[in-house]
Order: sequence, then structure tokens, then C-alpha cells
Amino acid sequence: MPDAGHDQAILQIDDVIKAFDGTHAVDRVNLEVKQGEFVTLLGPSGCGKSTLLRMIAGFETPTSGRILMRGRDMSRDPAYAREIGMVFQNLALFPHMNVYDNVAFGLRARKRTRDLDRRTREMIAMVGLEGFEDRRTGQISGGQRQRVALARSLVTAPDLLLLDEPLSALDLKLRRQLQGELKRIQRETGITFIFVTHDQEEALSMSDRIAVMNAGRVEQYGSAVEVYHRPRTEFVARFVGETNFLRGSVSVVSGDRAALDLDGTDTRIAIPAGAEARHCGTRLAVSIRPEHVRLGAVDELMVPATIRSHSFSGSTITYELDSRAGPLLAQVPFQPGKGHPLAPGMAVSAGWQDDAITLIPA
Amino acid sequence: MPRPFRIALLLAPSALLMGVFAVGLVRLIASSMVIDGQIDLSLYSDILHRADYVAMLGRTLRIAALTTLVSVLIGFPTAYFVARYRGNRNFLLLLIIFPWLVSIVVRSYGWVVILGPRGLVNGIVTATGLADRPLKLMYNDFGVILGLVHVLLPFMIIAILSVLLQIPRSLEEASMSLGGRPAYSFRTVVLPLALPGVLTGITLVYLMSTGAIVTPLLLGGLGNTMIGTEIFQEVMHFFDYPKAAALATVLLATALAVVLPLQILERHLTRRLSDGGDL
Repeated sequence: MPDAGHDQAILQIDDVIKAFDGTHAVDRVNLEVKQGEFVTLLGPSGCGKSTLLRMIAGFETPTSGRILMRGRDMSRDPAYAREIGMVFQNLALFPHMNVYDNVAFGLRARKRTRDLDRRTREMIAMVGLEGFEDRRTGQISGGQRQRVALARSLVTAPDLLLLDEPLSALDLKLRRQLQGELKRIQRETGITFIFVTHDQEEALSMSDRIAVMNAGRVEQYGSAVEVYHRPRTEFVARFVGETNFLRGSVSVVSGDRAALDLDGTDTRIAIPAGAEARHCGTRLAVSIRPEHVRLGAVDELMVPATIRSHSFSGSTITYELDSRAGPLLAQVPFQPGKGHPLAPGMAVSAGWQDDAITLIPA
Repeated sequence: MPRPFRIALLLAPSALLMGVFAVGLVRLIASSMVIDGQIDLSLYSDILHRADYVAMLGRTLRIAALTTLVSVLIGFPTAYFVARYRGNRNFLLLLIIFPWLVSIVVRSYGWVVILGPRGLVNGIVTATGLADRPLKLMYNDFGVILGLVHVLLPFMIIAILSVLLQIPRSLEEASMSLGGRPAYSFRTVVLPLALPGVLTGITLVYLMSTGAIVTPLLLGGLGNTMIGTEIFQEVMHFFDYPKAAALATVLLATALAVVLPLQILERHLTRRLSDGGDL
């Protein structure tokens, strides 16, 4: 029997549009977030992810559509009447208060003074800031300020926590560390998180589900694995990780195999026939991740190519290839003692397995 | 150019300015206290023993205080509106400082036209039968305060606006997301952070209204002059410089008594805030 309490949508966004001066910053977005989920809104700057977050928080009102919390329409409720916490991009700590007063603010504002001190100290302990209660927000480090913002937003035990690129100002190492802590705190508190970022690695490593946004729309909403391995649009394929993106027309369909004539070349590649590739003449694009491109000796694999350059990144080597199918990226594991990387100018061949191919209607 | 020489060159203009200012101030105070080479405070005891002067001093301080209060009450909401305005803020700012383009004499005369016994307001009030006699809207404290607020309000608005513009909108949003209603957010977040600007505005407006000359002259009655006007008349009509100097020193002392604590408080608040890091 399904666990109704756990799978229930805590937040539901219905056909929400936000127009600024006639342009749609958010354009017909539908999303549903389950209790306890870690959902990321991922997209480039200006894609509408922050505007969507601000509508959930109550700082903007949707031009049309509804935002429901546990089934109740709250699109027009003022921000202070929603049980939603928020961590701001600039953190927005109160500069005239110390750490303790910043964290206690929500309890005082909501007049929950009965166990104010216990609850405040509990939150400060959860983010590891014991001993810093009396410090002013200018007297602590960037990472500590981050933790104050987090503790402050969680002290009222909100139903939902919104995080607007809170880690973007930190250096990589601190960022990794705080990503881990965010996940831990989310697990410990069981609070539903909606996290906004333009960093696809951050999104992939942290999220239960990712909504990839572009130009005000949600291009794809799914698990990290789905979004990475089964991108549904060109935008998703290109934005989430690197990819080889080849366009063409279906030229042959025979049983469970089909062939794609690539645009601008005289190259034909084999693809699995299926829902996308059923008829000759259908326009299709193929997305193949660089780590799924294999390199072999000349004529061993499907596509003849020459090495243009290579770059070494520790565990892998990424080759840029000039191939009959156009420029390709191939990423292969680096094996110490297995000789030198392939030299620029070398003739090779490139290929991939069927299950590395994602077909995208073009 | 050698470094000490450069520093000296840079300091010269301000040293000159402050030197002239200090000499002037010392000579002003001296001329009220030194008579025929002797220190003589009789001018001060004369002033303090004349009931009309004491009343005038009290009225000056009262009018200045009321002008300041009204300016805060009008200036804060105006500054807040401008700071949160999403459109062309510079246009609003232009409207606010627009009155400065007109001479203070002309502006005060404008009020005479509006508030006078045969002025615009009384014309309307008597014509419509709202009152059977013209209202006394000027030649009293009301007229002076109105005129002073009109002249000095832009200083208050700009002083407050300059701090409000440094408070990010996200601080209020953070307060709201934590359950703070607008009034609570205002009281606990906006007001404490805006206080240094309010204190600056209070200092400016208070000082300028205690020293006002033209507005009380044109809008105040003969029987309720302010100390600035009185000093002006002592100098321009009676050529009694020592007395004018004594009155000016009294004005300076009362002003300092109010302004110094405000300045100390403001400095304290600003230091506390700068400990708080970037807004």
C-alpha cells in the first residue's frame, strides 16, 4: 500500500505565469514537490528560476495560475502568513543583530517565545556555531554566515525551505563541504528543500529531482539520472553536462534498427528504431555523452576521426576529435602505465553503444 | 614632488577654510564677552534678564523642534517610498530638490500668497462659507513651521534616503519570510538600520531651523520673532554687533546642547552597524 503521508504533494504549481512588462519571466510552469524531497531548479541566469522561487516565498504574485501548499491555494497569501523559510542569495543577515538574535528572529516574529532559548540554541548547535552566539554577523567567516542564514530559516520548522543560490559566493572547497551539510540537515530535519542553482554539478549531486528551466519554462523535471542520461530537449542535453549533439534525418528503418543521415556531412550513423525513429525523413538529434564515446584503431569503429587536442583532468582525458560526423568530444579514463595519450593528428575511429544514444526530436 | 610637500599642498585649502572659520568664531565669541579690553558678561546677563529674549529663545527652540518633528514625520515615509520605488527614482529625487531652485525669499512669499488673510486658502474658505472670518494661518508659529518644513524637508528626505538605499530589500523579505508582519519588520529591521540617517536629518533640520532668518521674518508675526531674525536685525538695523554676537553665541550653545548628543549617538550606532559587516 502506498504511504500516502509521504508521497503527498506538499507543493503544487499549476500553470503559473509571471509577466514583467509584457514578457513572461515564468511561462506556464507546472511542478509538484513531494513531502521531504530535495528539488533543484536548475537553469542559466534569467531563466525564471529565482522569480519562481520568489512566487513560492510570497514576494511576487503570479500573473496567472495557482500555487498550492498541501492542496490549499496560497498564491495570494502574504509572505509572513506562509510557513516557508528562505535562504537568500546575499544571505540577508540582519547586520544590527548578533548571531543569536538573527537565529531567534523567526520565533520572536511569530511570538513563539515559550521555548525560544532552547530552540534557538538547538539550531545554532545543529549548524555547529556554538560559542559564536554573541558575534556580530560581520565578525564571522563567509561559511559561518551561511550557517547562520540556514539556522535562522529553519528555526521556525517551516514546511518548506527555499534556497536561492546560497553557495554561489563561496570557494569550491567550502562549497562542497556546505553541500554535504545541507544534505545532512535536510535528512535530519525531513524538511522539503527547493534549491535554486545554475551549477549543474551541484544540482546533480544534491537533488532528488531536478527541474531544468530555460526561458521561463521547465524543459524537464526528473531525477538527476534521468536528466543527465535521458535529456528530453537539446537545451537539457547541452546544459546538464557536456554532450555530443548530432542532427540529421532518418534515412532507413529496418526492424529495430534505423539510420540517421547527419546534416552537413555524408555520414550515416546507426541508431535504434523506436518511437522517435519510426519513419524515414523524420528530423532527429542524437545526444551522446563524451564518456560514452569509445576510441579505437582506424576502421575499428563506426566514425573515422583524427585527434585534434587533448586535455588531462586527473582521472580522465578528454579528446577533441575532428570526425566525419563533425567535431566530437571523447572522454576516456586515464590508466597510468598504459602509454601516452593519443597525439594530435593521429587517425582513429570513434563509436558508441546503442544505449549511450539519446534521441531527441529536432 | 616630495611627499610631505604634497600632503601640505593638499591640506592647505581645508586648513585655510577652517582657519578662517575658527578665527571668525573666536572673534565672534570674543566680541560678545570682551568690552574695552575687559572680560564682561553683562551682555549675557542682559539677555537672560529680558523676558522677551528668553521667550524668543524658547520659541526658537520650540519651533525648531516642531519643524524637525514634522519633517521626520513627512520625510521618513517619503524617503521610504522613493527608496522602494521601482520606476525612475531620479525623477522623484528631482521633484524633491526642485524647490531649491527657487530663492528662499520667493518661496516664503509664495506662502504669503497662499496663507495670507486675503490669500488662496482664506479666499476659498470664506467664499464657500466654511468660515465667516479669514483664518489666521500666518504671522504665527503655524506659518513659520509650515514655511520652514517646506524649505528644510528635502534635507531630511535626502539624509534618510541615503541610508534606506543601503538597506537591501532582501532584509525586509527575510523578516517577512520569518513571519514578521510589515509593522514588525519595519520596527525591528528598517527603523534600527535607518536611525543614523534619521539622526543626521534631525541634526541638519534642527540646526537650520534654529538659525532661520527669512522664513520667520516673512511668515512670523512681529510679536513672535525667532533668534536668527533678531540677530539679523541687530546687525542690519541697529548695528549692535556685540549684542548680535552674544545672541549668536547663545544660539550656538543651545544648538550644541542638542546636536552633540545626537552626533555621539549617531557615531555609536554607525560603529555598531559597521561591526555588523556588509548590509
